[in-house]
Amino acid sequence: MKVVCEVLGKISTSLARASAVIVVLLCIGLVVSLLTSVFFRYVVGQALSWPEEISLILFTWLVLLAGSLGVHEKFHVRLTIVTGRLPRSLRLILERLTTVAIGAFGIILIYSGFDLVQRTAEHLTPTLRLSLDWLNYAAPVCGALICLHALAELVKPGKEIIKP
Amino acid sequence: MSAASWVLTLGFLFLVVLGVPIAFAIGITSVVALWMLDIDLIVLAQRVIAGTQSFPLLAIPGFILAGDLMSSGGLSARLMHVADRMVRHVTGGMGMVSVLSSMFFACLSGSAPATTATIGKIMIPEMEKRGYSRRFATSLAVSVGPLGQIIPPSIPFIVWGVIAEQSISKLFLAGVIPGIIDGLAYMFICYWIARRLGIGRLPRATVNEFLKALYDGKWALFAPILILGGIYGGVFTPTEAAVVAVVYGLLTGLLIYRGLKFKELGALFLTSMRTTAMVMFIIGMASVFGWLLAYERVPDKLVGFILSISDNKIVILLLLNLTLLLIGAVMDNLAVMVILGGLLMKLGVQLGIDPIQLGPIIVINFAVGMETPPLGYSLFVGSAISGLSIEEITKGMLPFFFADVGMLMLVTFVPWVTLWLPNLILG
Repeated sequence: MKVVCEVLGKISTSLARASAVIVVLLCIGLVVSLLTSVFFRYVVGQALSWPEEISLILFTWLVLLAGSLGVHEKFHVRLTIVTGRLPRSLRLILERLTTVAIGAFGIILIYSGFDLVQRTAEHLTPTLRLSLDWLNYAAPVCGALICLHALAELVKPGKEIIKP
Repeated sequence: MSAASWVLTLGFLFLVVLGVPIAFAIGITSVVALWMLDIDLIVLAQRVIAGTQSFPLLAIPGFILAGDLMSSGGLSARLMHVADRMVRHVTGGMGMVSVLSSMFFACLSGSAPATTATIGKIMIPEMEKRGYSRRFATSLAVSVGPLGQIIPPSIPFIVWGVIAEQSISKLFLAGVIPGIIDGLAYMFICYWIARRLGIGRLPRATVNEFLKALYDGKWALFAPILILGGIYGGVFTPTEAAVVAVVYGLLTGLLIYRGLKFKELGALFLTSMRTTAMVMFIIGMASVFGWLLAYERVPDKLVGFILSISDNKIVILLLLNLTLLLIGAVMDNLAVMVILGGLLMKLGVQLGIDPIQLGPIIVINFAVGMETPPLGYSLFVGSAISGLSIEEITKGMLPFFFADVGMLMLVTFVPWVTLWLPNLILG
C-alpha cells in the first residue's frame, strides 16, 4: 500500500508539474496570438481570422488543464464553514467521499469526452480547417488527469489529508 | 418539479454544504441529472467545452493577468500614493485612501478578490498604525473589493454581456456611476467612524508632494486611459484591450517601475492562470447545469411563479434584489449568472427593464455577494490577510453593507444612474 501511495503520488506530482508548465506556455501563446490579431488589425490594417480560432483552442486547453491542476493543488473554491466545525474523524470521511466523487466525475468526463472526440472526428474548424480533435481531446485528457490526481489523493494516509 | 430538478437544486446545495468544491458540485449534480433524464452523456463534454469557447470571455484571463502584473509591477502602489496625497488630511483620511485607491485600481482590475488583496495587504497594516481597529480596516478592505467589479473593466460584466448578448462596452459604462456613488458612501462611513473614534488627521500634502506623486504615477494613471479610452474610442474590443493591458503591465513593470523580475514571470503567469481556471472551470461546469435547467424548463416555470406573486413592479423588483443578494451570499456569482441567465433575461423583458440596466442590477447584487458570508471571495481574502475570522469581519461590515443596499435601490429604481453614461457616450 505504501509503495502504491508513493508511486501514485509521484506520478500525480509530475503530471501536475508538467500541466503547470504547459499552462504557462498556453498562456503565453494566448497573449501572443491575441497580440498578433491586434497588431494586424491596427498596424498592418488587415484583419486576420485565424488568431481567434487558435486563441479559443488554447483557452479551452488552458482552462481544463489548470482546472485539473486544481484537484492536485486543491485550489478549487469550497465552503468550509460547516465542515470546519465537525470532528476530525467525520471530516476525514467527508474528505474521502469528496475525493471519490471527484474521481468518479473524472471517469465520466473521460467517457463523455471520448464519445465527443469520436463523433466529431470528421468535423473541421471553419478557418484553419483543423480537425476538431485538437479542441475536443481537452475533455478526456482533463478527465484522466482529474481521475489520477483524485486517486493519488485517495491512497494517501489520513494523517496527510487532515493533520491530527 | 421533477426528480431531476430536485437533484439539481437540493442535491447541489447538499454537496456544497458537505464541502465538495463548487465546480465539482455543479458537475456531479449535472451528471446525475443527465443520467436520470436519460440524456446522452456526451452533453457533459460538449457543454463544458462550449462554455469556454467564447471570444469575449478571453478578456477574463487578460484582465486577471493584467491586474496581477500591475499589482506586482508597482503600478498599484503609485496609484495609492496619489490617493494618499489627495485625501489623507481629511477626518477618516486613511480609510478614504483605501477607498480611493481601490477605485483607481478598479480601473485596471475586474475582480473583487484581487482588489481586496491589493488594497488590503498594504492598507490594513497602515490603518492599524493610524489607530483604526484591525476589524474596521479589514472590513473596509473587504467592502471595497466589489468596487473592482462594479467599476470597469469587470469580469462579471463580461460574462453577463456574453450570456445576455449585450454590448460589454455599454455594460462597463453602466457600472461607472454606481461605483462612484458606492465609493463616496464608503468615504462618508470612514469619516463618520473616524470622528466617532476620535482618530486624528494627517497633515495635508503640499502641492509639491501631490505633483510629485502625480508625476511618479503618470504611467500608472495612463493605464486606465489606455484600457478604457481604447474601448470607448472604438479602437479596441474588451478582449483586445485586456491583452494590450497585459503588454502595458509587462513593459511598465519590467522597464519603468521595475517591480517585476523576468525570472519570476513564469510563477506570476501561473498564479493568474490558477485564478482564471478557478473562475472558468466553474463557468464551464455551470454551462452544463444551465443547459439542463433550460431543458427541464425550470426558468419558464420560475418566471411564471415570480410574476404570480404580485402585479406590482416595485414589489417584484424588491423581491428580485433580495433573492439575488441571498443567492450571491451562498453561491459563486458567475456560476449563477450562467445558470440563471435565461430566467433573469425573461424576467427583465416581462418587467420592461432595459437590458443595460438589468445587467448592473444583477452584477452589483452579486458583487455584494463577494463580501457576504458564507461564500464571499473578498471576505475569504480579507480573512487570509488579517487573520481575523469570517464572523469577526462580517460584524464590522454592516455599515458598508447598508451603503451597498442603498446604492442597489438607486440602481434598481432610478434608470438614469445606469443608463445615462452609456447613452451619452455610445448613443
